Amino acid sequence: MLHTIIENRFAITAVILFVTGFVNMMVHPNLIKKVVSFNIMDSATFLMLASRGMIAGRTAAILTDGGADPSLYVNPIPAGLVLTGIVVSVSVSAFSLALIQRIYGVYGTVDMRELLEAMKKKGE
Amino acid sequence: MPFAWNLPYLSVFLTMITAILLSVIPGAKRAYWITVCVSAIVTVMSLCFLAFIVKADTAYAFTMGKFPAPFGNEIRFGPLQGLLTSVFAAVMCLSLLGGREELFEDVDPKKMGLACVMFNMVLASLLVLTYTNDAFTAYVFIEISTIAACALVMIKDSGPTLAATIRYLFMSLLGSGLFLFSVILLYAITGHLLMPQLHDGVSMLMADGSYTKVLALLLGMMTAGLGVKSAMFPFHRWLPDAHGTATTTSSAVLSGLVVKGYAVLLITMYCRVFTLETVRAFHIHDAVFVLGFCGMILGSVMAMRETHAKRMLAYSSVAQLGYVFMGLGLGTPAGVAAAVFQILAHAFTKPLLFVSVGRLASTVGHDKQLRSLRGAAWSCPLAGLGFGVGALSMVGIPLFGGFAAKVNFSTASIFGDEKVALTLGVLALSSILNALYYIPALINIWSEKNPSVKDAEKDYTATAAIILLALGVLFLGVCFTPVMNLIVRGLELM
Amino acid sequence: MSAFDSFTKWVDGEKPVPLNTAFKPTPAKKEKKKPAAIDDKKRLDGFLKLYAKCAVVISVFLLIVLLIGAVALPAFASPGNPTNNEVVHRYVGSAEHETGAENVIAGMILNYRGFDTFGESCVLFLAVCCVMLLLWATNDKLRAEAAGSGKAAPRDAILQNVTKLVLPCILCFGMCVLFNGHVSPGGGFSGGSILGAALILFAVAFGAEAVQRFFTERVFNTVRITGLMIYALMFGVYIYQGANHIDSNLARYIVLVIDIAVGLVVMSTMYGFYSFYTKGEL
Repeated sequence: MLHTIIENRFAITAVILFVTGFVNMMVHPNLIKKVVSFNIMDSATFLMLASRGMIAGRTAAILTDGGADPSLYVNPIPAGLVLTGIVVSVSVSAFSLALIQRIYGVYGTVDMRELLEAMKKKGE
Repeated sequence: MPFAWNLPYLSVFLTMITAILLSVIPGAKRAYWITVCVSAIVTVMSLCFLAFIVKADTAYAFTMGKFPAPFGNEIRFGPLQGLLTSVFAAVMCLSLLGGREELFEDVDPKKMGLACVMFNMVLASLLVLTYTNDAFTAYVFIEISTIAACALVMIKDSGPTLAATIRYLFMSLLGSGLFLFSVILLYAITGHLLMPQLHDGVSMLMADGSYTKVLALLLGMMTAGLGVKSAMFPFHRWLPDAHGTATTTSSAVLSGLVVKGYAVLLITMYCRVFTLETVRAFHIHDAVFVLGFCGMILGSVMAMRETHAKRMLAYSSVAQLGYVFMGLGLGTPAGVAAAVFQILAHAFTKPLLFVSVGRLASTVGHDKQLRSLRGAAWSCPLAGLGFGVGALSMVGIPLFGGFAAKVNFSTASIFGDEKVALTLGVLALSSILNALYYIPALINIWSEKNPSVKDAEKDYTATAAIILLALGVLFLGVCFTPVMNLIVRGLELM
Repeated sequence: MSAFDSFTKWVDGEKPVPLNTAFKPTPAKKEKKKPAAIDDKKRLDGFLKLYAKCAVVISVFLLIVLLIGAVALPAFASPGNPTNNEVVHRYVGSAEHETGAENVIAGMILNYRGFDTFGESCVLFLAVCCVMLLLWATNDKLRAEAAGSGKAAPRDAILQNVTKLVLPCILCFGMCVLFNGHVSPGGGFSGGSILGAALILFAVAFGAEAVQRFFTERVFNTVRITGLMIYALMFGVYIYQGANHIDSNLARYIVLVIDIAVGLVVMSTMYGFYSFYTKGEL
């Protein structure tokens, strides 16, 4: 059992981080912290993905003098997918922060609870 | 390869290039009409493609580049994809036409170009989610769809829409996070991202029984992730705010199309990657059935309690999506076909209802409380008729699309081997519940006219949109057998 | 009249259908507003508590299930993983002569899986459009609001002098990463963000007006749209040729050109975010 856990240490860390982000995103009332939690969740996903591409004793998939021998390099696919994922998470963070800035301008709060109350008060 | 096979990819690139260019084209009216034209062109292209593919009676995998699967990106299309994209593009065009007046009132003229970017991107993402043959492309376009759909809610720049957008955005992000994680798990145990190879990998794993725990886990996560995004029952709370507060066109597009894109992707994953046998083996379909069941009942109950017309329609969308998940939950090809038909029927009906309500509300100063809409139909009879057609279709009166969908669900359940009584019972109950809020609303708008209300101004585009959407509902209600045959054939060729 | 009599009359149609009871226009309840507000607050409290409990239960369940899944995954870093298959061998083995990129990752994301990356660039484009939709100050009221939220920091001599010293190096490094993306670590995304960071540093040190002298709204739009259009058109043609089996050498140039196009998009997007956040316009 311990052996399996050590073998899959990155996957386990990623899973714990993922759930941390997930639960915070659901229950935390502060909108900014929700964005941070979302980023934790995404980072966990990237950790998971990057750890899948690792193969012991090999180098990054940039061809050098060694030539194109597949047994010398790690798996390049996860790296490309992580790149895509990072760009998406940057874009979404920028969008949600801009949205929060506007919400703060209108209601004067970044707290989900106070926001709901402020909306009730305005009769919306 | 016939040239017609290039049409799907050309339609995707046409919408995306238009979106990119629209962000710098000045002029609100120009941007709007370009968007309408592009969605009309895409409709025509998809219909041509549909005609060709039905004639050829085949499905084709189209490589996006020089390298075939499993090395490069790929899209795959058959009759089902052609049908779905034609309907999506047509409904997009009609929703844009139907909500024109309100769109111009609600959106800052300088930002109209950017709003049109979002409409085009939503269309592009719907097309790709329907066509894609690659799980990771699906993820990227899910994110495009998420961002563009949230932007559609907030283009009407008011406090409530901003608050609704942030709730919608966070729920959607949870959903896409779950989807991405499940795709990664799938990659970790099969080593592929293209659907045909994933299918082989999954069936091999099922045959030798390895990694079954991971497979069950990722199947559940994928269902939950796409379920969150298409408002499956316990995750539906974001929907009424987002769809109820947005401008008419946005509500129509979000309720009629965007949530459907994810449901179509879920169907594709079930049929093309996992196969229905795998889904049944892990009892995922039972969970989906129960959630769909609860959605049908509780969505209607909550719609009954609403006094705001658009929020009522939004809750009714939760109920209608419950039908789709119930069909998937039957776990049989007939059930899936019925779910696809329901997607089509709802794609016509809900935008029709939203556009009609938008027109009716324009006569009473855009007040969408049901009590202010009392008697509004007399000042805009066509919108009243449109609402009537939509409402009767939702209740399930024969000759309308909703009736045909219910017939399909019942036949699918009767010829299946389980859940017959439950399905029939919930269909009957949900029809009654639908009637309980649609019929009073219908009577309400057609009751005695309030003399202080002026007649609606003429709006030819909205008139055309209402007529065409109503014709779509009637077409699906009358000619449902050929459509069903096409869907069944499309699912076989998936 | 008994209830039954009235019912029969209703059935016979002698009594009007009591429709007006369903949606009588009721006047807004003003006198009851205060207790209703307190009631609402209690309901909201109750709902939030229930929601938090449900969320914790769901998350604990998710954690347990995910941990079971994670332990059952293929072992970390072992060469026998299912992910180490013929696709990887093809990418590493043929990327150089099929795509002209020694950096296999660049070759993969820009050629083999180029459509994904096109979608990804569109996500960036959409994000900047959304930020513009939200923060673009199209009228004076919004402009005043934006100016209040992002007050310019006072100019700082140390910052300015260090920037003068460092900026050329950053620009050179950024260009280097951008143009060598196909043969070494780097590429459009990393090079573009380094260049974007250089622009932001310049704006912080010398004020946005200094940037505006050469990076106006027009330039911003041109750079962004040109970059994406190059990508869209070139890849569109490439897909047409690839799918219709037309022979061409396009595949060998596509990586370098698209890499630079992506770099332009990323650079302008990064600066666009900064600019719209601080002052609501470019």
